[in-house]
Amino acid sequence: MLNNFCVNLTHSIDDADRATVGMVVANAAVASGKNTIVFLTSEGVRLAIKGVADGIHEEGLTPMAELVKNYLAAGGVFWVCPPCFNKRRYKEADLIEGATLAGGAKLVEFLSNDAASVSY
Amino acid sequence: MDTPIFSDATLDLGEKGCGQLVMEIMFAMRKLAPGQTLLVTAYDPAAAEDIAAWCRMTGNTLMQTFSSTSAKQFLLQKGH
Repeated sequence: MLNNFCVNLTHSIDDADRATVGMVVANAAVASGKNTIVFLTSEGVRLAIKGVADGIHEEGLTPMAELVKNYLAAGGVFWVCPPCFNKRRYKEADLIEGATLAGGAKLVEFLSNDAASVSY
Repeated sequence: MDTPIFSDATLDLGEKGCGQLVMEIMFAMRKLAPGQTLLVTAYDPAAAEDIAAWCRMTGNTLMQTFSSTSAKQFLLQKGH
């Protein structure tokens, strides 16, 4: 059984439904003992910015802030796509704890090491 | 008359499902010592499949499942 798991999340405030479901799956992965990363790309990078998760709550689903808090507490990490991050003119000081900038090569290395991946 | 179910801890998940369901179970199991048991109550219709899969992945044991009209209960034993 594979032990590395990646959720590629491409949405945040632009699509609360899709972003939330992606984080629900990430919660399931890390809670199941998988070495889990959420790779944030495109609009997804905003999720790693301080305060953004607090404003995302899709009706009928768990608030994003709770999902992020539990995900980090369980050992999950966020990798943030640098070009997507820079394009939106954020600074590293804007990142939440548990989020780091990590580019394509690092993602490819992770996925090449017997990882499973889903994308939202 | 229902037979009492003995466990070291209990967890009522209400309507929680999917990632929240297993996340709450994981946090509850962290507090237990190997061999101790957790009685989980869940209303999510997919809980039985998800809890069984979670136990297989994490080395814990699904000892028994109990059904009532709407809720299901699952007796889990923490692995060593």
